[in-house]
Amino acid sequence: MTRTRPGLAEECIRSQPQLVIGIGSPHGDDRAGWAIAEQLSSDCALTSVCQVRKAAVPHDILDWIQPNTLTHIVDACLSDISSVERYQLIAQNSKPDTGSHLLGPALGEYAAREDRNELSLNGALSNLRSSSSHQFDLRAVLQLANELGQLPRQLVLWVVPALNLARGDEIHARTMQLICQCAIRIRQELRRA
Amino acid sequence: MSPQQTRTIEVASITRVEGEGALKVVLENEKVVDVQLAIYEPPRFFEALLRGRPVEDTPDITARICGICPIAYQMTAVHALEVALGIEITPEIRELRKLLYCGEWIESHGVHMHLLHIPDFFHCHSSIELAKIYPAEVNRGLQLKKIGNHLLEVLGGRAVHPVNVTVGGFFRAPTRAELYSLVNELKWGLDAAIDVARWVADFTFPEFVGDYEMVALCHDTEYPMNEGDIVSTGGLRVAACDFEQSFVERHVRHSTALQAVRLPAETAYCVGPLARMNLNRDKLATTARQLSDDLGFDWPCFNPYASIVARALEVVHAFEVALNIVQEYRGCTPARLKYKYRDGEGAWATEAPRGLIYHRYRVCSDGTLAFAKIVPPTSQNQRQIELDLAAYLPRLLSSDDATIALECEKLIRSYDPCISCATHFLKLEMQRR
Repeated sequence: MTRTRPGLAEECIRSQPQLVIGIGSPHGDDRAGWAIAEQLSSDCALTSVCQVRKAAVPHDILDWIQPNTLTHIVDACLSDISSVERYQLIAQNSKPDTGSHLLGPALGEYAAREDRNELSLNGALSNLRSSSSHQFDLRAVLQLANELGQLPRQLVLWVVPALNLARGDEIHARTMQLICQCAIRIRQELRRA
Repeated sequence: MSPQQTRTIEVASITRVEGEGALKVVLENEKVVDVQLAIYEPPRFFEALLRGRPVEDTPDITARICGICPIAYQMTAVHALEVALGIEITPEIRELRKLLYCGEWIESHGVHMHLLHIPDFFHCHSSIELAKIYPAEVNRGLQLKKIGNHLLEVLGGRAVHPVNVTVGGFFRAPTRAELYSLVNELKWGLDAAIDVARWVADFTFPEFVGDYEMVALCHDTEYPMNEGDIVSTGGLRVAACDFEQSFVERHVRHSTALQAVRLPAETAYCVGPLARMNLNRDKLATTARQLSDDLGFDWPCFNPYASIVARALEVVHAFEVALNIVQEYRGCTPARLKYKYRDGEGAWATEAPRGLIYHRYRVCSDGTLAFAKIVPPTSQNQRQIELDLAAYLPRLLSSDDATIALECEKLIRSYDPCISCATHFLKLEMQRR
């Protein structure tokens, strides 16, 4: 008798709720978060067990995040990194304080640097956009969520390096490759979770 | 005679406002000689982008001007285009559009009050600090914002740049069940919004009363959202389509955004929740109207810091209106009216969360746009903000530059400026000579 390998929906349904949020805008590579959310949304098996959302401003994520949901957040950033970076933040105690309890090993193979064996929340977020709508950036949003006890206990941040954020431009070809790689990687993690 | 002393104070990047701008203040012998609110975001050329495109593209393109208030752009655009094309919408479409606008007012006001403005009243640098003191209140504000976004999703297809609005109506009308599913959260939101209004009305506001001409739409029977004449505290009353007879936009050297002024004397004026409240308070929905009396607030009010009370009352109003529309909804057929292309021109104004917004379009018989003009609220408030700062600064001059910069930012934030919309906001540079 051949045992059929469980499908993605069957694999995921056994596990905790999962959420993927792509942050972006229509402008150039800043669309990366949206593009990854769109790729994942087109996977029916995935969306039946995992919520996928697009956010135009970081504070939109406050509508969706919950402490017990494994959450992936994807955002683009202008920096000197050349590949997608992954940061995993795991709450080490249940009492929110200033965010200092959030430490996590740099688990991703996309990590370009070796000095990120342990990263504080602030350290991880320093590579993300430093300003955004209302100067209320992703770091501030996550700090606020932490203060309000809403921060997911397991949070994965995916940072896609942006080459061009010019208004109205298309996504750069190189960035598009990274977007596809990142979407595949997130899909694999959702499957494993 | 003492040598001339120059003091320069700069806010390089104003925080907790939408977009990027700077403030430069020049003092000579401790007298304010110049205040420049510089919007340095690059021009976005949306009006030029629209030319030659199908009229049907307009609501979706103009929605991209702002991630916070896309509905304001969509509503103003479709109404102006419907004038140009000779379309008269049905009462059902009109009610659904009002409902959609309620969602945006709730979301936008909720964000501005709880994440941006309220921290100023408790000497907090951010909503994160505020959340340490008032976690329940911040959570409540975020829940209000979430309900606004949910309303936008149900009716607009999605909260971010909704896609369901079109010339002639909606691509798809919601079912009765879809709207009725919102009733419980709208009821909760109405009660919560009343609590927020009572809370903010008790804040201590800096004593500052401006000499303003306040401008807003005025409707015969309703608190204005999608329609009305343009009226002012100075006695103006013109049809919305005649906006350009009474107002004009001017270039200023220090800003990439145009500044609108009132004709004929090219004076400053202001738009927004306080203007709407001062000119339309009697038309608030029943609960909001009663609450505005009960709060013990003196209306009309010309203190810009108190705009937060007007904003809170408007959230109550928006929940009340939304709840009524949802409960009365019996469907909307047709969702979208048919029309034929023709040469024509149409202009319209609506009330964005931040204030009056005006669009004018000229359409061609082939269904393309020949001309577009868009005047957002922030470009109308810029000049008045500069004048407010010039009037408020003398009481601050004995303070250090950092304190002055902070107080300037607070005054600016009370206007809830949306710089990205206007570029079509803040770094403070102060020169003391």
